[in-house]
Amino acid sequence: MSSVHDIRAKILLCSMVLDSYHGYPSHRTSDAKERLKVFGGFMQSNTGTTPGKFHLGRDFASVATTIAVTLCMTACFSSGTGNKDRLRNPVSATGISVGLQVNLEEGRAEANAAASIYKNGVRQPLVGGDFFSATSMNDGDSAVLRSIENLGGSYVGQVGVMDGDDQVLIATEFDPERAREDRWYPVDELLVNPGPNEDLVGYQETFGFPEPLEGLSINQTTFTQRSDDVVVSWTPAADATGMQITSNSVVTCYSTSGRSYSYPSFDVLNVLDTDNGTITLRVGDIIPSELVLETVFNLVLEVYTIISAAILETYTFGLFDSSDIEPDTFTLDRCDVEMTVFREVGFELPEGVEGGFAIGSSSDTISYTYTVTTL
Amino acid sequence: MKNLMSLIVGAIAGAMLLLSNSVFAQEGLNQSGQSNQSNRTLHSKPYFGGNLVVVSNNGPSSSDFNQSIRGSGFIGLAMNDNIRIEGGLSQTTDTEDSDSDNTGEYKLEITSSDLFAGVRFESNPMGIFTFFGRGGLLYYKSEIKLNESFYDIKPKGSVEVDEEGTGFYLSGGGALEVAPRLKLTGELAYLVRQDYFAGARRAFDMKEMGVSIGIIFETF
Repeated sequence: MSSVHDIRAKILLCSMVLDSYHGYPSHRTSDAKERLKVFGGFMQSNTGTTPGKFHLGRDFASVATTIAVTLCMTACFSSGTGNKDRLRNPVSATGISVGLQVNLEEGRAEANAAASIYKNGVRQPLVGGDFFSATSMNDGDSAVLRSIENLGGSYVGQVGVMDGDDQVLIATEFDPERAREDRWYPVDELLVNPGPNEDLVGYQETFGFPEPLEGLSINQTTFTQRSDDVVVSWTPAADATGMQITSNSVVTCYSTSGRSYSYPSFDVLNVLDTDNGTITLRVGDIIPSELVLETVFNLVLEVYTIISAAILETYTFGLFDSSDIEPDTFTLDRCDVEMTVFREVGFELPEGVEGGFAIGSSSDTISYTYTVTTL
Repeated sequence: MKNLMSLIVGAIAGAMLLLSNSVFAQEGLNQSGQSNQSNRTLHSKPYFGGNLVVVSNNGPSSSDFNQSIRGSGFIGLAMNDNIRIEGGLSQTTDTEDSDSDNTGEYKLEITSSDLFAGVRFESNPMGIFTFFGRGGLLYYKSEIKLNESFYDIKPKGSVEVDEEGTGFYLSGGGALEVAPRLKLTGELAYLVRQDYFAGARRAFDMKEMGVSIGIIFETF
């Protein structure tokens, strides 16, 4: 069996980063346990609680707090495979930056859109009638992107698309009534209108989707050694020009006593313009021996994670009651991995935007389990 | 429709007041002529009452209003042993719903005044303990105030709107005679104010369910 050592210090380090970034008093924590909970936007207890009714900004609070950290980490992001992400630029310290991605999961009729906007390197929550929208150009469907935490600044939503040839427009808009379309009262009659944030509204970009990622498979679904090879295969693209293959794994690990936590793990699988149709990873690349939660959330990972969550319908992140996990006593039993592989193409940033990225992608998801063996 | 209902309710209330005045006059003659205590009759005799209701407020399903207090006073007239007509005024204060979302944080407050008239059915009217049920129509006037702030990123503000409309009420309970002509009442009350912002995309009704305590003073 493996036991966790070092994890407490690393969790605290991450939570301090969170605290220092976030800066909103209501989310500040005062002790180690609370820090653990805050960081544990991707932590869950396994004590039998079930997800409650989704309530924007309430049930997802811990998730959003976790993905709220973006700024300082963009530049220090690295891939486990050593491949460099060629489609994404860091957030600019001056002017406006955006992180935009539209993804179409294999077999789905709805695309997931995720978006963030920065001003002078600081992520900006959209309030008072400002919002991100995603609109299908062919289908005509349109959605307001919502943040899982009110001031989280990472927005996600789904929009119906006709097929892979459809395009999706993401835009920052000001419409005080539409921004409040989820409220129960007549917002056309009862409206406090503070006006738009002129610095943030008016940006837009249209996205297409790369060739669908088909034939995704894995060599086996259960692994018992960290040295085991995870061989993932898919049908290569006919023309890989401008394309990049990446993956985001949502890993949920369980202790022998039934406790659990989750974290994301990102990899660039192929270099730009190549699509071999296969990649070999080691289990240990995704599940470190110390179960280290040293993942540093950045803009890339944040967008990936909320898109993956939408794909996997694992919006249960953070819906479970956070438990007080004592890392020293967390004896690993198994980890379940939901691995989403993305085929990506880059798009021009909206006019007037200084940094960030605009990505269109197609994806598919596989899952496997790492089970700890006892000798 | 609203004007018509207000006319009807007003007419009923006015008629009741006139009736009660005539009854007072008649009552005075009776008292100077002969005692009616030995031959107590309820016909055309007025009564007065008031109550306080602790209500839970229900708007549309996604709203989450707090509890509030409704106070009311009424006057009634016994048509026969079991049937009475009555009307009055009530006031509900500080009905609030607050929430937050990506856009901002808001608090919506509704203060309502009602003019109501209806019928009361009373069992065992001469006994110490009676059961009753009542129901009728109402005309409401509500002041709706919305306060909204935007996490200190944009300036906060408020807006106020007056709404008028009609509704109905139903209730039932019991009354205990605690002193001559004085009854203590308790009842379960249900009230609906209909069609706030009628014609708007999110028009809504406000429903109140509550428990009340009150008193009734009978002139018979």
